[in-house]
Amino acid sequence: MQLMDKTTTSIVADLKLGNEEALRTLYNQYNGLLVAFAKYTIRNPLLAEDFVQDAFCSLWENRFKLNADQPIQGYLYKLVHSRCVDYLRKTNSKNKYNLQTELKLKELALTQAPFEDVIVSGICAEETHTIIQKTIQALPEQTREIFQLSRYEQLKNLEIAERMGVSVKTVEYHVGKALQEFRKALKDFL
Amino acid sequence: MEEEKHISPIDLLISCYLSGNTTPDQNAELMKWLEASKENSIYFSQQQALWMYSEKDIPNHQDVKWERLKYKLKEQPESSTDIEQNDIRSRNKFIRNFRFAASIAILLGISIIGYFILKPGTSALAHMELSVPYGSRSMLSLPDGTKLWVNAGSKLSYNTGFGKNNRDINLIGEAYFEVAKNPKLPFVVHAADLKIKAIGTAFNVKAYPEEKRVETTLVHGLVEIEKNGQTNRIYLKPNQKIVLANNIQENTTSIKPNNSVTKQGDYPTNKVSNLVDRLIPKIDTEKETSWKEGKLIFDREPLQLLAIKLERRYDVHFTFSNEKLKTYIYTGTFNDVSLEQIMEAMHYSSPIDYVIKEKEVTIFQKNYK
Repeated sequence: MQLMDKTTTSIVADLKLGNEEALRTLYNQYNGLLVAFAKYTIRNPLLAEDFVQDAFCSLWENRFKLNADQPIQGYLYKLVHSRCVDYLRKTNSKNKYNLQTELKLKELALTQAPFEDVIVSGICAEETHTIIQKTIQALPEQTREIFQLSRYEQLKNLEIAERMGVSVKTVEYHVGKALQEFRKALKDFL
Repeated sequence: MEEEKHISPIDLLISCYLSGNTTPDQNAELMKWLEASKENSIYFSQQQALWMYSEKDIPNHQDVKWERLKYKLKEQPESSTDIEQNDIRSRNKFIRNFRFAASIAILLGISIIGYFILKPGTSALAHMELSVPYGSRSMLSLPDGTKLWVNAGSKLSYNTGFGKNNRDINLIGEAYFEVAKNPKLPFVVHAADLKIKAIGTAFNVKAYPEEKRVETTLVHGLVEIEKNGQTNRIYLKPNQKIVLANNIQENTTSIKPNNSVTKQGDYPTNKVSNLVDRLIPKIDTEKETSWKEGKLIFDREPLQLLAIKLERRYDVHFTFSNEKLKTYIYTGTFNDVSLEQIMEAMHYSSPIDYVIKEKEVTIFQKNYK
């Protein structure tokens, strides 16, 4: 954990020196997660990728204004976050009234600051991802299967229930259980 | 179902929300819960982060996408308004030479800052500075081929003439040098008010401003020490160590955090003054330089001094619950281990108890029941 922050400090210093490799290090480390965040938020995979690329461009352009004392992950998240919010606001006004978008905006407004805390206090993205992937593999078979259908096939709980021949409540339980296991596995970093 | 009892209603609500299975009523309920407190909001964000991290393909080293990004960066016009940027561009060559050190620095987690000093009447002089923060160590090569190990909480600097006109280097803190041979250009370390001159030598210099003394230990070769510009020079032979008072500590700054335990006031001055200006004719150099391998050796050291070393090494802050504990003498050797392991070992072998809370370490008297 400690090491992470120190490395970030030197990455900022290196960005300021114009070192493209430093940007690449950040890109490799956070691109995947940032895209996941943007996808989750705006539910448009192509635009999500664009927003993240744009955020990295902006980071590079503004590298001289960076503060080495502030975690760069947090800054990157803010850049992506604000792009998502702008997009949601625009679509919201276009579609006049969209319950789902309204809800997302509300969620974003309520979670902005803490979201930063979460990521910053954590270990690096790659490690976190590995731990979660391992946890998924170690889940009881039924839990794993239901979680994967929900997370990766993006099936609704009702669809999963029908497919597996269980109740919707059971599906809810297993998805919640998977999340609970992730939390347990990463409890030292939250 | 019995199992369901293990998951709280709010956890179920959150996971339903994240997987897109909530009704508008449930959404409203969740939002209300989020608004209720900052803790709730943080908790939700953590669950949200866990959900996102469970994405299948994070992080893929997307080379193609990186190339696309790089292309985009090139497309952008250079912002010529930024003075600092232009400054750095025009010295690109110098920076390129420094890249090697910089890339090592990234790996080791230290920071390098390049800046420029304008002296009236002289041309701009580029100046390189390297800081190793608390909690890290670093090894690097200088342009002349000299290898050096820099200990936590240290600062090094030199100017562009290094390796060409001079081999002068400024040090605050501790470093071990393996100097590349160059009879024409002596290698000179400026530490506090000392000038330590060496030709083809391996030596350790310890000059933390808060320690009121400068220690020089020679491993092999020969060094010449000049104090305060005085002519009476001291020559060190291999396996000798010299401890000199650091008179100018007030105007030097180390990079230690402000609230460190090592305030000048509470340093046990009496003990140190005995050590100052002393030549130790035969010393275990292994012990003096073991820090570069990550070893910590404490030889009859008072807890207060030991705490200073641990503060640097692990980037923590020590507090003693009573003054008497500071004078407790401890001896021990630790190979690259965690702070927790050291504290645990000390706890077992001495009358101390401890609590580590994030970066704060508090030392208590052990409670014998």
